[in-house]
Amino acid sequence: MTDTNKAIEQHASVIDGEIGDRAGERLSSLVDGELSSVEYEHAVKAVEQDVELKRRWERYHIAADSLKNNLPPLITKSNFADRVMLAIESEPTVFAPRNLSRKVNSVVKQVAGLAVAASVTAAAVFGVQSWQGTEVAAPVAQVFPPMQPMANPSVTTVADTSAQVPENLKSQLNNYLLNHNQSVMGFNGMLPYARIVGYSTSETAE
Amino acid sequence: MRLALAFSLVAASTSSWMSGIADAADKDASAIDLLRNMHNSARVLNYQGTFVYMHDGKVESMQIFHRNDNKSERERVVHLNGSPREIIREGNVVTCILSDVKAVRITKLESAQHILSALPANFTDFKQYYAFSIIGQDRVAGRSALIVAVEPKDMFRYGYRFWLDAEHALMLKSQMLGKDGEPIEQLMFTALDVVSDIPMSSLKPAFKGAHMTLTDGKGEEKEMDLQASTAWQFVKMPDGFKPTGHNTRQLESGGGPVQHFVLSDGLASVSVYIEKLNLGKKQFIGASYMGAVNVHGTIINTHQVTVVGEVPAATVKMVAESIQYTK
Repeated sequence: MTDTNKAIEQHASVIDGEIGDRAGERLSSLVDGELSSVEYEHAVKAVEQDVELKRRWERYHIAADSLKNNLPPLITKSNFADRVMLAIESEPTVFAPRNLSRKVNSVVKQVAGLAVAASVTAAAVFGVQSWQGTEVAAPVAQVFPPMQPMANPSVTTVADTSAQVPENLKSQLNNYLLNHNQSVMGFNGMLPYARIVGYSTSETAE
Repeated sequence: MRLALAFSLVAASTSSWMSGIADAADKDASAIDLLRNMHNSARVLNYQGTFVYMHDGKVESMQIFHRNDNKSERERVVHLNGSPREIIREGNVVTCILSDVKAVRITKLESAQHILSALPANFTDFKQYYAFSIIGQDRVAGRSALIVAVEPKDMFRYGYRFWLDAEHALMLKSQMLGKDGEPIEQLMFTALDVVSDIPMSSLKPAFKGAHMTLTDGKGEEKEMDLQASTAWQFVKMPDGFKPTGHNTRQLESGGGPVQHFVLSDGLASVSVYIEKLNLGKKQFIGASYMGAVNVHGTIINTHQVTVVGEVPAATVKMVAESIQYTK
């Protein structure tokens, strides 16, 4: 492990309270890019399926970001640019945690204040009735084979930009919203319906 | 006969509440009973009214017609400003007519019964997570109302306030409150009439369904791969949330089957949609929201999992993170 990665490992371990277990070691090797391709597949699958490992993965990257001023450890690997392009093309949209600033409008601030988890995004704009998220820009640490996208929201704190969610994603999410409000019986009957009629999928805000 | 029963229930409870408000020992039980009366009245009575729905500084106005002729129950909610939309429910079939996007969507209510219409025995779980009390009186839509407060006992749910009509227990005003006690959304009637009959014409849509896409989800209980459905486990849910329903449906015309699990703590509900990843759809991960509803997306074992609910973001996030696929 490089010196920086050792520092990260210690930092992350403080968070975890666990040092040196086998899965953790494999995880940090994965972070370092030190695994063979076979081990790599297994490790990615393990992280994907284990919530705890996934969380640790996220914490390693949060630690890495903070220690390295957002430059991830894998940036020195060869073929990096190619792998990034591959990853970006099949990238899932990640709604990223954002630092709330005064510029964020009051409504968004209010709703964000409701969430306990620090990672609630200030993305969606209420009145425009559209889903907004943060496109993953330069997801440099997310170098995975395209078939296995992974939840790695911490990486996107790098890019504090917000972009409109693509049209097809908006309507996808609206389908869920509509179905939820349509199929759940509220105890006063009309609140779910009010939510449905109160929203619109059109781009032009009322 | 049902109407008479409802009226006597309401009348008996209301009069005792008016005199029993100061009785602290009964507060919890009486508040819940009042909510139960609200729920029953809403289903049993014939009424029509106009209300406003407020969220994020926006105000929408709507009209509602509710009819129960002892044979069937129907209601219709019409959007009066902006996009021409309406929702019509006949029994447990709900039809959304969204004229602005030229779509009609039909689906079935996930559970025919709400906990408030269930036996008191079912209430013990429900009461663990919320505190109920009658906190005062007010006047709404020109009518006297009692105010019921519902306070969450943890951070995984929102609080509420309901203004209930003193005469019929119908809801006249409601607020869903965030952690700071401020309303996230509000609904308030400006006019409400309880009548002996609502004509069927009031329950017919004003918009024709021609040239619209129809998504009919009511009949399509897709034959489930039993293995596939039991493979999804909810390992650690927020306290009090239990699965109350599950089905496999087509959510949009031409779309594939989507598994839909519903979790509820008795008041709030969370939907979990699970579908296989496919090239035609964009994947997404993380937290977002639309109005009062929070969303959390995650990808598990080549499936897109989306959790949606009128609960704090922490709750949908916890549910999303508690889902596991076991082979």
